[in-house]
Amino acid sequence: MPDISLDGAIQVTLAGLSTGSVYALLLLGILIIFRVSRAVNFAQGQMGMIAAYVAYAIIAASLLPIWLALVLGIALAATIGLLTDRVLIERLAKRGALSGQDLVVTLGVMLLLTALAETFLGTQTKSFIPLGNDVQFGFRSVVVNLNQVVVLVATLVLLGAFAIFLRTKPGVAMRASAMNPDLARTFGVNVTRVKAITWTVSGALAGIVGIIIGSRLSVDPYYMTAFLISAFIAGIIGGLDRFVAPILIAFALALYQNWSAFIFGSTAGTASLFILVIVLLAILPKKFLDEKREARA
Amino acid sequence: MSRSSLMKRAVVIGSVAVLLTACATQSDSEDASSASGSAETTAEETTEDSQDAAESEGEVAEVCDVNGNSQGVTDDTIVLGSFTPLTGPVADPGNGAVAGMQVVFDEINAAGGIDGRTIELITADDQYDPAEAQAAARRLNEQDGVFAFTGGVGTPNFVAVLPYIQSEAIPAIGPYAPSNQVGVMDNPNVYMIWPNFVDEFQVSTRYLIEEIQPEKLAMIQMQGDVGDDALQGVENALEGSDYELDVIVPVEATTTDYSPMVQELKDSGADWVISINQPTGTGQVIQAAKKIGYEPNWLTQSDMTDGGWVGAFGADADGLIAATKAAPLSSEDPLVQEFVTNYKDTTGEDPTLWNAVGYAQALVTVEALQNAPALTRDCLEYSLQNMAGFETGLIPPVTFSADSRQGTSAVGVAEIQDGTVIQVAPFAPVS
Repeated sequence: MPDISLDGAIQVTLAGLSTGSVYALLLLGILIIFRVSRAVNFAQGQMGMIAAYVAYAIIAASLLPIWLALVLGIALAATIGLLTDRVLIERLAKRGALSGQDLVVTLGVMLLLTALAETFLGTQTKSFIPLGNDVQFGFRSVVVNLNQVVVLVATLVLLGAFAIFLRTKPGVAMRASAMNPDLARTFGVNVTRVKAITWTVSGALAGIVGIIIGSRLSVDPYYMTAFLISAFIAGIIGGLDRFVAPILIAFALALYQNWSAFIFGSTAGTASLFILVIVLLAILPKKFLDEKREARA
Repeated sequence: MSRSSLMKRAVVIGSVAVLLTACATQSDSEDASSASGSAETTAEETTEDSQDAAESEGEVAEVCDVNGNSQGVTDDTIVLGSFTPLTGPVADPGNGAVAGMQVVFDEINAAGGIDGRTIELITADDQYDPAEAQAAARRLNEQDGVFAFTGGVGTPNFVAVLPYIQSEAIPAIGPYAPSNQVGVMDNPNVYMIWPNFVDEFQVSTRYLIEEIQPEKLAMIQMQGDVGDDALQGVENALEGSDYELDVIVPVEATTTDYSPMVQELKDSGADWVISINQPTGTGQVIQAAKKIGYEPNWLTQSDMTDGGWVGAFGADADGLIAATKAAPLSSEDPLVQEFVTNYKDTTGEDPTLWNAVGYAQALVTVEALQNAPALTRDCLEYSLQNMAGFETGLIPPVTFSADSRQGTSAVGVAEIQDGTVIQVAPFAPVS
């Protein structure tokens, strides 16, 4: 166990919160899709990868200004989300065959996106533009960068806005579509459109997250995998049909991972993560959260 | 090495083969000449020559089956197999090495192949995954019927296949799997042309403490055999010195945030960090350290001398030193520049370290095939065991013997300076 300095503790905690914010954003996209389409989207991470990788390729080739390349990348991820719904998920749903098959379909989309990136963009790791990672400030020996701060604040604002959105008319339509699509249709809600919009927004969210993570690490066809796993762990613990609990757990998980890795080393950190998962899922399945108090879609 | 020199080599070896064939059939021609006189003398010479040839064949036959058949060899083709990461986190090195190998095989095939047989390379993607590698190797051997394994990149994936290679007695030439389980007689079918991580880190760490003399050392170490070997090399170098590792921080490939690890390194106060990690992870660790205001110097394994890695992370890694197993492509060595020029002329692309790795793997493979008394597996191994001082121009001369499977034992040291890899210590034998 290392000697823990106050500055070190603060540094690790801030980094954990920052990582938690990207887990939360990635998970938010997964959650809204699950609530509206009842589909588990394994491709959420790779949608983000495609956004970042394509943006990188455009920037590297100096084809467009950086901001436009980033917007195009996010738009591409949003389009992939929309197409996944319209071409695959919705058709399966109409056949009444969604139960379980959504897993295969989104897994297929994930593998397809990976293969496309490998084929057309290459497997070599590329350093992405820093997006504020190189703008540093701090106190004592704690160093924070602009990217971390902006992402953390933006995530909190986005989550707050989403909570408010759920109480607006479109938000109610979304919740109604999720809870009882047939009943929602009788009230004039265009459920198909709501689902399409949800997948599109989720794709855009994936694109934003992919670009954020790419700017922190680097981009290649595989860099989102570990983040997707962590996001899903938070989702499984908190419940994919909830919002508040899994999002909070996403932050807690990142802090837990950072602290356990800092204290016990990254190897023990992985083991301790799965011990935590087992404990929460096996021992505290029902009492862990009170669903009635949550904002539900 | 240029196409012309490869062709020259093929011509020379072909000529030797013709001469050997002539010797073997000399009795017939001598018999014919005896009809014109000197019959007694000629008959005596013929007998001696025949006896020599028979003894030579007999010697070879004792160690390899010159009359046997091995799978993967037809009248016009030699099929070789390579399991290596083509997708996944180590895809770039894997694909790069395959591209380098293919350049050599294409040149040999264009020059007439091996005794008129063209080389066909079948690759199988092992994704750097031991289980996938086992399946890929089995598929290559049992379904594709390859003659031998050649090349490949990655240690854990290759090491997982060692029991299968041994049980099937498949020659495996030059895998980039720098484990201390490879290149030793415990796995006699594997012919290693790369020093292992023990040797690599021993040489580079010794250079560090003798030439640079850091204040304080720390290490970040991936888990498993690779990390253990690197640590062993570091400890070998530090033994008897005043240095010790202040902290050893473990790291895993699945890490999403390196902050806790680099914070521990920062807290140690080390001015030099020795790193053994996947190349991408190494770059991300260096960047993560920089983000928390910690900018030590880094010593890493040789993978970081690859141009692709330097392109992605070199801006944050100025002054990084690493062992070298292959000559840096920026070297002014004529043979290295010949390779660089030839590769670019052939493919239209600047070569990377991994292209050079594959190129060297293929050259050694071709050399062994060309000198094999017969195209059987055991004769291929016989040829490998008699390889002495074979020059690829990219790695130190390759020498195997009947009781040695480590073809090279020299390691150099390089430094990244302004985005360029500069050799700062020449290749020297590992002591």
